[in-house]
Amino acid sequence: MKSNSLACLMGIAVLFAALVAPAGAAELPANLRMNGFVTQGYFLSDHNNIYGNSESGSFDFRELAINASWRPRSDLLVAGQLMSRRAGNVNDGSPQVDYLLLDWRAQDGLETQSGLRLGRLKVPYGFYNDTRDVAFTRPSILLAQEIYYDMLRDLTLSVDGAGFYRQGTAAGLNLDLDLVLGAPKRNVAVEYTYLGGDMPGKFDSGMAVVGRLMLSDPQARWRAAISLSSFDLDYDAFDDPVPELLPGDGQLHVDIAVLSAQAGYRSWVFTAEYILQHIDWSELGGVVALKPEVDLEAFYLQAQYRFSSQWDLVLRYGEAYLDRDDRGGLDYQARLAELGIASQPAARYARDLTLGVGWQPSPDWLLRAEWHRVRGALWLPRQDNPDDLQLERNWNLFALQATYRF
Amino acid sequence: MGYFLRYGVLAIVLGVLPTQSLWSQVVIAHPGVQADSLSPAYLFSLFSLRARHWPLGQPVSLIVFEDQHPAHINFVKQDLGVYPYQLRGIWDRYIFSGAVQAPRVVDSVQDMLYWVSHTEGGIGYLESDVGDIQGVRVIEIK
Repeated sequence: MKSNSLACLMGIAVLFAALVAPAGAAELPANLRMNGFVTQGYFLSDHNNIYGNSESGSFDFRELAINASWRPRSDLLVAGQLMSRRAGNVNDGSPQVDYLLLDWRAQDGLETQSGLRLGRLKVPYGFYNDTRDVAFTRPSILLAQEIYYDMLRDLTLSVDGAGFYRQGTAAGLNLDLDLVLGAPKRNVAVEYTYLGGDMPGKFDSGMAVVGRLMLSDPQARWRAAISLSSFDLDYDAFDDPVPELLPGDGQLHVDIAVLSAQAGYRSWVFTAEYILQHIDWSELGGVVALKPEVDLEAFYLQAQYRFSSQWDLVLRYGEAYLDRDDRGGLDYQARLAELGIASQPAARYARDLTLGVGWQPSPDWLLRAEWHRVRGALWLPRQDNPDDLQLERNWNLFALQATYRF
Repeated sequence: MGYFLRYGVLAIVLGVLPTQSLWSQVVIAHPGVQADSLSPAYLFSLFSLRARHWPLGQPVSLIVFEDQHPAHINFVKQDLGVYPYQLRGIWDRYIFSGAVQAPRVVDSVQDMLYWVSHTEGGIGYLESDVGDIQGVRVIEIK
């Protein structure tokens, strides 16, 4: 239903664009571009699973995408990307429309540009979310999970709706504003993240409001951003009465604020990002709302060193706490214990030290290797680790990735 | 020792001076583009895919060599003041979120001249030592 209405919307948009385009249809191919990429990963962990059964080595991570853009008129851009992502038991590789949009550049000058977008839009938050699945834009194989928590990916991937953007240059600085409003993705992965598993009911509608303001040096020597987003998801429990301990009908509220800063010096790039996420389950009830509201807090610090035109190193340290007032997860464990449920407090936090190397033998190829030393299991997918009690607190992850672009 | 010093100085003079002076780039555009000169800031705004129109309204269409092409590397470093991988990073963030259209990539001087002279609002670059440049407008950067 949702994708049908989107396809319909885009059909109308493309038709409209074609009708208003100048008669020189013979020049169309010059206005059409296609690009894409293929990424294959390999993950090996000593404990806990990520992207499949990584404890015995997993190749179960693959990203394929093809995108096209077309400028029917100088102020209109139609762009879309079809993507398949296979990631353990989280994403099954079925092709999805990653984005499909009509962009109207309403005003375009040397100093300011602004426009409107309609369709399925990427969610602008932090430095990396809009292109989080594109290996060439990631500083490492796994994006900093503290901010770009893979379990959060589906909710923050895209929205079906409208957006406004304005770019400005003044006093030698760029100031870019992105606003997006619409319905976010609401699939089983979102239930796993916010309800702890595949629930009998589902999130049947939702609304997201997202904004990002970025200040940067025009030559990309540094940039700083603040991103604010708010998601309201309506949960329909289906069952009446709702079984004990399960969530009932109601709205889940998630509010996210991200602060980002990046600066380059010679061959170095330093990045820091901080996230505060307020999660409010109080309308839903059930075991997930034993503590009805929590503040997730996380940050990371990252240094990239490009020691030749083909090689780079990345060193990163980050911490994430699902409840910043209960960093060790012990209150959570005690609350569940009162109900006679055993739990693993390490699932409430994670501290990750990452060391990685990247090699780009040609502009079309990128190979990466990295090692993670992790304490805590917060960002491990429950789909690949069905039993919380089996989670190990201290674990190591080794990862390889090859990607090709065209 | 004297030989080393002499040849060392000679090597530095031969090696460094030409790359600074002779390998300058020429920015070229479609003859319909009404601009004889551009500021470095405007040039960067065009090549970082921010502005989509020329002041008189033609669409901006970038035509570039591949990332590892010497003319591209020299142009990006000298005229834009960044490394090719930094420019690629800016482009990829826009291209893979559907915000802009990717530049047209060509692999020969002939193709560069063809596409710049046949694309309304087209802009590209050449190394200065390619000889006569016909059918395109040469733009000074100042």
